[in-house]
Amino acid sequence: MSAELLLKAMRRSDDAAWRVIEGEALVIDPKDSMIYPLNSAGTRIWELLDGTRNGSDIIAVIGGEFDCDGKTLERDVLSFLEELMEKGMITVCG
Amino acid sequence: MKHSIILKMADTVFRISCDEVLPIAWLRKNYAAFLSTRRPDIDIPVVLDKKWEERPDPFRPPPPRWRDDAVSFETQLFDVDLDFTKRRAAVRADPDFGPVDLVKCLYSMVLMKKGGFLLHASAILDKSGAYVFFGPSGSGKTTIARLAGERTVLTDETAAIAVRGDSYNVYATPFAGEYGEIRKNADGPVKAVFLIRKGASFCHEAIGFSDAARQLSCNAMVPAIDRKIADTLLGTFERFVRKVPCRVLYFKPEEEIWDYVS
Repeated sequence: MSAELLLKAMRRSDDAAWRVIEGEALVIDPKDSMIYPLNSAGTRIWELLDGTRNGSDIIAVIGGEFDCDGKTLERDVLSFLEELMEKGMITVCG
Repeated sequence: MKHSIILKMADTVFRISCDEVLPIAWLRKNYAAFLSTRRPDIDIPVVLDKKWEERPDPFRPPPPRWRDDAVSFETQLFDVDLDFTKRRAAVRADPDFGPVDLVKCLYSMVLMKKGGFLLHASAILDKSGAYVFFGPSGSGKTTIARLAGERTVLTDETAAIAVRGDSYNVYATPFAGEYGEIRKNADGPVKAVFLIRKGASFCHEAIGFSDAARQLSCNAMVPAIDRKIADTLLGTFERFVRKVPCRVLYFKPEEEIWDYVS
């Protein structure tokens, strides 16, 4: 799955409601009424999932905006994207 | 229908009716403080379906269906068609359904629609207003309720938060925990909200709006929702934390808590 996430654009589910308060997002997935709080990095990733960027693009943006190690960054971003994909909160475009 | 009861919770009056006496009798006995003679805002006829098909446990309900000012949703033991314009919630239920779940579910939906929410919390009212103490099971909500003394315990388990003017009120609910039956259907303006943690002494920490909204959302009781109501709910949490002071409170189980929080 990691290769696909790196290469294909992804977008947020239209069903997920979200709101950013002081730089941190709350995301509600109506499928299970679960509420997911995202930290500042998770929030930024969520905002970037607008259907125009793939995983590599997102990793590049996050790397430029947050102070983090390259290998760790890629691993953490992909892990987060995989989790969102498994929950059905994001989908691959096209 | 043969049997009915009128309950007032927050500023909404519900009339629940049923051909079977047991659910109504149960509510009359256990929700005595919430009985009302006022004209109902919402009528809730409950039909017990003897041909109710058993649903799997756990039951994964389909998404609620919101349309204009109405919603339909399913649970394991009852289906609801709630129309806010017609002020009616038609319910079809398993004969063994529990009235608590139905009442709590409907109440939560009505509150959310009006910009409020149910919160896993205790709430104590004194002459100056109400304090809300929220947190997961075991955090001390009932402990604090038992320290109320002469103050009014609105709830030790489930608080109803609703808009009142340009601020918020907290209301008693009949959904009690170990504290026991709530005997007074009272309410008051929310002076402060505390995320509680047991400690060796009293101290508190400020928390930002984002963290406060996050903590509230994790302790709110959210029934069947879709994108539209979820958007409403998130807006509600943000407006609430921007209006009402929210703190983390470390406390020990002593009556000095009231001097501290005030």
